[in-house]
Amino acid sequence: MKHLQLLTFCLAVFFSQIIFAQGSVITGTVTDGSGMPIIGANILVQGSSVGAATDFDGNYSINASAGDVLVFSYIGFKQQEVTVANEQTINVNLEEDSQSLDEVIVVAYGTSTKKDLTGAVSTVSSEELTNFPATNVDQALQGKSAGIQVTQNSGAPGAGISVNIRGVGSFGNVTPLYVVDGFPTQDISYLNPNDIQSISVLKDASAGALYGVRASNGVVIIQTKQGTKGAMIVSVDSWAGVRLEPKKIDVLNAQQFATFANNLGTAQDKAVLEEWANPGALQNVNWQDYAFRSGFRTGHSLSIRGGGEKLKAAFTAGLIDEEGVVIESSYKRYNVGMNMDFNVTENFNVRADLKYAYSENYQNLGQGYYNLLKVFANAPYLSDITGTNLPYDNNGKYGTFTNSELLAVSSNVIAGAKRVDNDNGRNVILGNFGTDYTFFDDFKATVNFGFNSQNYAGWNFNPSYFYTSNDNFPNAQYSITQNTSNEYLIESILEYNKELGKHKLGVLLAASSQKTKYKNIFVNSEGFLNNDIRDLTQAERVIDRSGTFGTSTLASQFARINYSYDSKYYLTATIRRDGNGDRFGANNLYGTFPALAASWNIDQESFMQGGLFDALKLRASWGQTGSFFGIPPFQFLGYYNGGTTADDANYVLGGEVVAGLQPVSLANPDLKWETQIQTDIGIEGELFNNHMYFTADWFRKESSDFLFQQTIPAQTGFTQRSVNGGNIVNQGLELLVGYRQNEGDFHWDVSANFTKVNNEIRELVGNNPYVIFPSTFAPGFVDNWQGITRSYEGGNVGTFYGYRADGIFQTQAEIDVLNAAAPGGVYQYADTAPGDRKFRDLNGDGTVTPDDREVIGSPVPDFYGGVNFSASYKNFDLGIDIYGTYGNDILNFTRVELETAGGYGLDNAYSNIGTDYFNNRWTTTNPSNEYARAVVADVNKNNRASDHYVEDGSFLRLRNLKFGYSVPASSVERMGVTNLKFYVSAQNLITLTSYSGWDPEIGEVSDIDGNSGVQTRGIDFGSYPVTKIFTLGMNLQF
Amino acid sequence: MKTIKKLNSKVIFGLAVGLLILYSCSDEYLQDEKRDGLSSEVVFSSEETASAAIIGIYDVLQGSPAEYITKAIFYPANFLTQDYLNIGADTFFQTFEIPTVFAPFNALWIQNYAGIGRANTALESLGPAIEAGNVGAELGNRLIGESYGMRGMLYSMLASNFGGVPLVLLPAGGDVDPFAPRNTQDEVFQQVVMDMQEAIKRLPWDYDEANKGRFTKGAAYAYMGGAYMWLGQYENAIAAFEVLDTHYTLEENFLDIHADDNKNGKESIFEIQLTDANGNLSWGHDDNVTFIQSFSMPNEIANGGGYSAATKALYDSFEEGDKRKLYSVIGPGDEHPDPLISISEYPNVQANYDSINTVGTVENPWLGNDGLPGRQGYYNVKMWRNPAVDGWSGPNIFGGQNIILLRYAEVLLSLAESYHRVGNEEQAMATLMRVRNRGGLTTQPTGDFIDAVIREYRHELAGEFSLWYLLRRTGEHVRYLQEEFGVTVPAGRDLIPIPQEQIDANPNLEQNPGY
Repeated sequence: MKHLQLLTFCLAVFFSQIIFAQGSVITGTVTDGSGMPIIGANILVQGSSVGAATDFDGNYSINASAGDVLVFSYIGFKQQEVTVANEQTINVNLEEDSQSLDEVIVVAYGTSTKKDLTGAVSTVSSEELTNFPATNVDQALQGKSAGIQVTQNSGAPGAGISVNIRGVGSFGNVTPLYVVDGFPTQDISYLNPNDIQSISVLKDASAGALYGVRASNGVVIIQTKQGTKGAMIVSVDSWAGVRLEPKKIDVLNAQQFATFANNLGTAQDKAVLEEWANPGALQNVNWQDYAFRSGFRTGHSLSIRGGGEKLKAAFTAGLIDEEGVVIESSYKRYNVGMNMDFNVTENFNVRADLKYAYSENYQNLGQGYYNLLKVFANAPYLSDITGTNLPYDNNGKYGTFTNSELLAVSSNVIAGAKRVDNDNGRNVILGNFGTDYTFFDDFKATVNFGFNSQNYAGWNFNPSYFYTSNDNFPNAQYSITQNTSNEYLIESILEYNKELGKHKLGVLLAASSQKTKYKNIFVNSEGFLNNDIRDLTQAERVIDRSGTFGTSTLASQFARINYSYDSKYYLTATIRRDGNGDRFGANNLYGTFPALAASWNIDQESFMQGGLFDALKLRASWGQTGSFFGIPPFQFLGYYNGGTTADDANYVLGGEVVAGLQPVSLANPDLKWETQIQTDIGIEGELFNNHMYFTADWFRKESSDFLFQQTIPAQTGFTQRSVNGGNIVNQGLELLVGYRQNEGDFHWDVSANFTKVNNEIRELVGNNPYVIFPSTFAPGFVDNWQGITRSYEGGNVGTFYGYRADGIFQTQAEIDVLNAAAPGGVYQYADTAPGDRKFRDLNGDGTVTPDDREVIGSPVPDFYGGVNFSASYKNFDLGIDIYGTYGNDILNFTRVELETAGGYGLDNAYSNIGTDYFNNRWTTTNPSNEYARAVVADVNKNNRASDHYVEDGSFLRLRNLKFGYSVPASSVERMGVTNLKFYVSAQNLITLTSYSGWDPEIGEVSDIDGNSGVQTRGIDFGSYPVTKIFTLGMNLQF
Repeated sequence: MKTIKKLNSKVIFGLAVGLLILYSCSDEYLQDEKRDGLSSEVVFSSEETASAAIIGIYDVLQGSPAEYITKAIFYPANFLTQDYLNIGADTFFQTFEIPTVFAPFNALWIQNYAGIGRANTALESLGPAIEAGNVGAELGNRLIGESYGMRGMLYSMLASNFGGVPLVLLPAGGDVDPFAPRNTQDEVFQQVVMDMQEAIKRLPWDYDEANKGRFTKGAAYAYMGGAYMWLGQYENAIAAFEVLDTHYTLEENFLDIHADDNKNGKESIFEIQLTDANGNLSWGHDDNVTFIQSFSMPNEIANGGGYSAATKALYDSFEEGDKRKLYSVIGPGDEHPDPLISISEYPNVQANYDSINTVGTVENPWLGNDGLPGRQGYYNVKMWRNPAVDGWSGPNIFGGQNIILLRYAEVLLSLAESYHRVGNEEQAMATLMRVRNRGGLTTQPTGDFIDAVIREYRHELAGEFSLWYLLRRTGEHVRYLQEEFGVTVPAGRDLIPIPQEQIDANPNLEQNPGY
């Protein structure tokens, strides 16, 4: 904003030069609500080209005659008109108007104002961003704007967040493109939210099309804080708080479990452990007590901004240190940034930005099947084989289970997380240097150079130990990872802006090229004489290694024409041609992406004057964008390599290992970029004296040839292939309605946003009726939870697939009737007994087979939205953010663990169960029709993927509640402080949901192979829970 | 003013040049390089890399070693005969209720087709590579022969287990339909015959020491003969098998067949090559090893494992005087016959079992100490010959003993059956007796000859990879299992199910009717 202050000022100076001396000189001061002078405010004699601007003290002078109307305006303030009488001095106090139509909005390769904008763009200001102390920028976007769905993939500090703009248009990657101070990137996790000045989310194709082949998923433009002209401003933001432990899900304690298992095994003629006969002797362990904790978090930011005529500069520094609520998880980040603006000559500007971030991220007890989920399945007690019967004690000892195959889980996951020794660090340096030169009055030439250098290095040591034959790790492992990437960007831009009467024309011509060089090294070794060694040379052998390098290049040309007439009619046309060097073959090196947009400021029309609307605009746009992020590079080529150490291409001949080669990808030479065609029609306006504001958009996004890795029949010799996958249409409606009022000391603003997206797959590659995703949440032996997502033509992306549960068999007679009618004499399984779950025979062939599965739920919400309220009264302010989704389902595997008394794929093993299930399960005396009987061997596969485990994932969350108090200026001024504010905030304080798991916010959780994406949405395989956070903070400015 | 103009023109010129440079960005600038592998063009442009690609075909036999050799190959071949029992998670073989989602069978499908795909690519690429002079004709021809042989072998394994499978004979991509439906079992075995014919033209009978383990002309004849038997063309089978006569002989001592130090012995026709010379036999192992031995050894010795146990029924079924008995199955009170292996020397036996030198005792048979039901105290000797493997939880879980898929004794038994099928009873009996004699049996079996062949398969090839397929091929499986074990094979369950994952990926694949 301050940046633009200067621009306005320059403009004003320009205007003041063409003033004709006329009438008398009127002087005065323009101030804001608090009486502070406004620098660079515009004063214009209505109906003339006579204007002036205020100086550094807010003073102005202008020639005007009695009867003239002076129009005072300044960005962020309501325009004020004063009719000149005979006075010589006119002082004006401008009323703040944060949502003014003159608000400057950062768009693709430039800025615009809300009034002039032709595309669908949502903005989030720095105030909104720092309204609560977020770790990541994405987090702060949640619930702020219509059309943007933000989901935390995990409650871990520093964890990834999925940002999805206007529906899922691909099976591949749907992450938007981020543009940080002009540098396009896919990752902004290193940014400090406090450093951010503004965020613009370009939602429709016309707004984003200038980013061409990377814009299909929307573009998020981030502007960091710049230097300001005038007084030096130093601000300090500090906060400290705590993340609370997640809610506990009740499971049986040691005594209940032992009694239950003993009775169950005896009744079902299965072996039982001797120790269960004496439950009282067991020391209870509630694994959730050991897995979770409250996590302390703190953050500090400092910014110094200032500048003069020739140089403006901003320096920022930040620190964030957070503990996660799961043990052994934490995140730490340090940021330093410097933005400078050199006004070398009147026409020549140089901009230099440099940002550095260092972060450390730990999560030793991961999400998913092998880790967090085990806190349900683990027996709720330990043996004392190791000298302790606790998961860990104060002497560094870890408990282990009784050495028996009768326990389905045999290793102590908490010990696993605590035993690991590791260290990692990531450095990010981002630099942008730009020069622009204005010439021939209307021309501007800009050359930008940017670079992004990233380095990650980490090591991990897993010590050896031996407790029992079921719980041991005979060879210590030590692994080292190092990834670096260096990316540069060069852009040349030529702009021409001309105003002729009521005609305004802007032309932009540009070329850019961006290249990344990357290198990766990974070495895993094992066999160390001692667990204290951290030295690769002392390993007995290397068990896995990889290391390579590569480049990724993008070369582009693009152009834009803006034309407007009389501030009423606007037209924007853009085109971009992108060439990409690592995704597509020679036939498809280049893609061209055009877009067109028009808008009409209806409120400017004479017939609207004096009407209901203070502002009313109609927008329409059409455009093409692309994406290539959905597939790994070089899939257009067939490639061979030697495989990994654990699964190499080598063979043994004559007793010696001989090197081999194996194909690793099936070439698809015809691969080309995804193309998305989006049409958007929007209307926005303000009414009731600008108190009420609204934006409504209808859009239709058709994504064709979307890229993803298709699971293909293995008879091809491959299991997947990168393809252009088909056609998806996302059609939707976005609404934003708000009301704001400033009455004396009381200011408030409330807005609600709502988004409904209809996601439909129209066509699939090869005319297949459906596509399955290679998502593996559970190992192969959890055989009835494989292939749990499918995407059908006519349906949503990533829908859940499984059986339909149909109650519980109450009597043998019921089973016998079905068996008698079944062609093979068996309806489900031969050993199905009363208390087992009945599944529906969907195809009516008399038996339940895999053909009786269907789509049982969808992770796509019917709608989502947020309500944001902010108010201030004198020194107090209050902020409330509410976010919710409705109509999405969650496939809850955690419930499977809670309802499985046996072990997966095991005939004779036991695992713990949930108390709810224990109390409600089918027994002869409790004829439940929902919860199956408890079994040691799940002969009927009661726990298979079925709609029994699909739950409504709708939730409404009080995302943020913030209450602040600003110390009165009078009492801090003496200390030279201009602003001192304290606040308390609470996040996720209230969550309304019927979901039974830890938390309903399930994003794109990684599966056990590390795959995540649209195919892993809404599947709860032990997600790291999002919990309540309480924070105390302070803002200080001087 | 002048200077500004000058500067202007300079800047404009600079910019124009800058823009031009960017605009002229050539395709060359754009083309990124990939260096973490070789493109298929490069692979078949030199002898070294083309040979390595053929190694990649063999490698599928080692893929995911735990699953493939043990669970995908050994399980169906032995559990279905009921002579071996699964202990633990996969006991459904005993009732023929194999889940269609059983992951190892998906691995069998994936691995075999991966090998077939690699062979298809090699077969398409080697011809042009030889023509272009990139690969010498002699080597190139042999590599083509190996590719045919391996493809046929992999198809043979698929068809004997699944029945008909899709015949994919060209590299994936292009016009090849990745969603092709199943061919019939006969069509697959006809293809095996054709592949072996091509292999026979190009392959040597033997290799030098450094190449031992490659597919040979003999293997091609043997697999071709086997395919003919599946097709009921016994004359052709006889012709194929008879050729082997001068190239293979039976080991004099039955115990030597599976000796860890007798890899690729004179009786061996095709075996999966493994080695544990590289050291790591723990969970962090490479894929040149298998854990089938840990599955075969008693749980008491390995302190874990022992999940594929032999039955007392098998042990008791050996004829009096059959030397093969204790070289195949040992039970309570029996010592291990291999001089390399002393049960009393296993650390766990010393620690917990009074250093006895037998697999348990008659009084205290070894039934496992893991609480898993089902063990009868008998163990498979043939897969327990590597002294390096001594534990389930220790550092030596996996071992490099080769896995013999096909050996001459089986060929002789098949030949005997073929002679019988064409009415040459004398030759049939004589051939059968060659096998019996080596086992120390001199009496001619009486009764139905096919029953005799089944009995010989059962005792000669116990715990190997053949009896079940003989039963299925001859259609005797229903009667045999009923008579021997009182087990009813549900209709159609002699075939293992087409993996559900494959049906999900390719709806054109029809499940076997029994599932």
